[in-house]
Amino acid sequence: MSYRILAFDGGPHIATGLRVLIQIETAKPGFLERTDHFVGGSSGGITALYIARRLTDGDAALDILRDAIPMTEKLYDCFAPVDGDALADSFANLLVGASAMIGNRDLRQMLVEELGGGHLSDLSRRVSIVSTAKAEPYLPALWSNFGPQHLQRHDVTLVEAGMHTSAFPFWVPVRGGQLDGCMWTNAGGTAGLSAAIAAAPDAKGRSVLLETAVMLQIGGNDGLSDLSNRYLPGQPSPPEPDRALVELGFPPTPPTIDDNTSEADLNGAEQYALHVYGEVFASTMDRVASFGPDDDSGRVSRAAERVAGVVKKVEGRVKTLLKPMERKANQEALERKRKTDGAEPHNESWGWSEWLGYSGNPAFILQQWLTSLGRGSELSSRNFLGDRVLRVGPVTFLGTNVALLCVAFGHCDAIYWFADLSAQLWANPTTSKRFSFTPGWDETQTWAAANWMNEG
Amino acid sequence: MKPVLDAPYRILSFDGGPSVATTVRCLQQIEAARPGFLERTQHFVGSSAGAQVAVYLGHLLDNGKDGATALSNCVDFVDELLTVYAPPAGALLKLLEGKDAMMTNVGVGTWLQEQIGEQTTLGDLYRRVSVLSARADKPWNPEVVSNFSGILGSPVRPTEAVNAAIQSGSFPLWLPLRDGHVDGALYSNCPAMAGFGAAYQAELSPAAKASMLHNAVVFSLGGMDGSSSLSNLFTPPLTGNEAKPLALPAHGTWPTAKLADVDDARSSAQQIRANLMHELNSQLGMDIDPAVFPVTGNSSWGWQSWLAYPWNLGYFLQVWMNSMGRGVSMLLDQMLGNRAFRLGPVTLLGSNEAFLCELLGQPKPIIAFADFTAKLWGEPDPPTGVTFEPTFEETLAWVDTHWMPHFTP
Repeated sequence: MSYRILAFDGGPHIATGLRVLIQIETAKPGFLERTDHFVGGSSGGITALYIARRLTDGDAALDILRDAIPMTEKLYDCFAPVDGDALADSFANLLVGASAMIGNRDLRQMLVEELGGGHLSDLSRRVSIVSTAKAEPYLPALWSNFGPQHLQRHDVTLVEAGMHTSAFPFWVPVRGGQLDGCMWTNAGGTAGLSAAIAAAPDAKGRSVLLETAVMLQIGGNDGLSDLSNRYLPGQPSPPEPDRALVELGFPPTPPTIDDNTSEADLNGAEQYALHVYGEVFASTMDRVASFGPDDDSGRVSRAAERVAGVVKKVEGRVKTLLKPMERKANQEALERKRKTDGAEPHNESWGWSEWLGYSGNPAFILQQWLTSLGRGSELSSRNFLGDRVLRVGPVTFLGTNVALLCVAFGHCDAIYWFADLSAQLWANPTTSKRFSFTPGWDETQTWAAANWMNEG
Repeated sequence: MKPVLDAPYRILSFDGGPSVATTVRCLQQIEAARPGFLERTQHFVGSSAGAQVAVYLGHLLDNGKDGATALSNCVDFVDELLTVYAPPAGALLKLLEGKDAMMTNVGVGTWLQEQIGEQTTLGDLYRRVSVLSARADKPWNPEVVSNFSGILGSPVRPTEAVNAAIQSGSFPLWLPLRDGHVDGALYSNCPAMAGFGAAYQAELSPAAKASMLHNAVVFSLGGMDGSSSLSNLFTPPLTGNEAKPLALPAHGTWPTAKLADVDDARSSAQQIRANLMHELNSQLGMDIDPAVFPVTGNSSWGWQSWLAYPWNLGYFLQVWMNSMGRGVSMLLDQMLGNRAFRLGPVTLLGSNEAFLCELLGQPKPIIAFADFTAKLWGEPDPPTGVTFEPTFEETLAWVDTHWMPHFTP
């Protein structure tokens, strides 16, 4: 008898993950219904709560998953600073730094509508939600509706659990002394597994659980398809835009995905992704440039002046002091090149321009950090469960870090556009192989049949 | 094949970061109270600076050092490590320029080669060792490099121990990538769970796995801000009604000598905070007065609360890094119960402030506070009002119950 854990990462790729689950549920009816334990943090935590609540109500799996897509779109809307004055205010808040970027009133209202007035104890299935207590000392928090008494949080409402797990620093306020679960781990799969082990009645129960537990992690696996991470720091800059495609405008008409879909057919999608990268940069620059002296309170202009003054001073000082260092830097570059060309080991002396400012993959460090954590959780779980763990997170041209920035700058439509594309390419057995999705459709089906559905 | 003794299976785990300066000193006190403690370790695990300590201790024990000598040498090793990691003058500007990492890894590599041996491979080490890093090449992945085999993707490479240690300690922006690898902190700064997982997956039969689950003992060492009555006295206020802490003194000399008592440590910590603000201003050519960032105090924190609260600079870093350590501890508590133990005494110099001291090339205040904290933690009769969690006595009680019994040399 398997113990099935379905774990959702936080972040923007839940949009793709839900579409992936719909494909799995369609191919393997009863898949979602078999879940014993839902785990999640941040947007993944809210998704876990939503699905568990709807299953408790007796709704059909495909209906739940299909409804979860607009639910997450509303969620992104709550996190996206809106157009106009409110948008300016949000980024003013971020720049001034006296408060979080946006409030959480809309988020609370949305969660009340989508999750209702119940408590964790009302859910029929096991649920574990990851958050972080900003107390002294600050502690990781895993709120479960089962297990040893000290781990149970039956009294927490679904709405408050959702607000706590998604209180991302700088973005929304600290909620009830709780922060976003990503401050501990953005991928809660291993946390869910350990909670289940803690709930086992005795040593034999713990061994049995480790021998029978099965885990599907839903996250964003940047770099694990031929269409993902085509541009990495240290490589040449991305290509110039195709003028003909640019003139057609963005977003492009979604390509038809079938067995014959080739890389050439996806050229428009790649151009769109590069366009979104540019938009994210341009939005940042526009926002900074818009902070003039005319704001009502003067608080933004004072902050902007302060920051501009610091930047100017730093810039001058960097140029002055770095001149004597240039020769040394050149020598080091030559040494690096020699080592790279010759014997290992070699170094890549990346500064922030590579980690943060590479135009083909801005904020690369964020992608590495978020996805390493997700893969770290996968690795930790695999150590205990072996091949009974599968992590699925098809990513194509729009990387996780850029998708996160899309939420910040109100380009959520791009996230949905690429979520549709990625899920379709992944779920077609031919394109899944052609573009080397890891794991691909066939692999996932085989895994689900053997481990989750216990077929054959 | 590395030996796996009968129960208990003892894993000693070191977090990355400046906390190693304190934790190896705490281990010295444990070894003095319970001779043979270190010798019992079957599996060393580390991330970043913790990986370098793990490899170094494994190497020393292999070379016939007893536990007390190995830990004494390790204190010197860590103090020097903090010095070779301290960026040179002008490095902060190099950091801002963004073309390169702040410093090369030549000094770090040379030091590690001298201490561990250029040709020593992980496979040469008799005890089990696991080192965490993260691969930055496509597709980037977390990586645990061990000197024992397993059925999963934990690679056993005939890699030089020094190279593995450099890879694990290649903190982004600070050191260059090493063979496409970055610091283990990008996977997990607290490697205890990864180490236990590596040991568990290396067992092949269900019975052996069950035995590992029921007999593994994990001693995890890191920096836990908030773990004493002296730590985290200054956190950004949640409400505007909270009293403001003491004013910062003027910029002065960096405290480097041994700290006499708690009062001395308190004033030294305030001096360090003042100096950090001054140095950041000075090195970056800025003139920021902490008063221009008034913390009004509400729960809607912006970056001022998270980053610029002058009495706890970089608070965000502290929460993020230490939540991760506590997160791993919680997972192990759930899996192993009382057989998992976490120790990370911190007093008046917070982890983020220690990190900033290192960033500004000031390792000596870190060493002074490590010495002070470890001694105070091991004090049988601490000053009134000073408490630690866990205490020295609680730690020894755990060691007696879970670590020392059933040892076959």
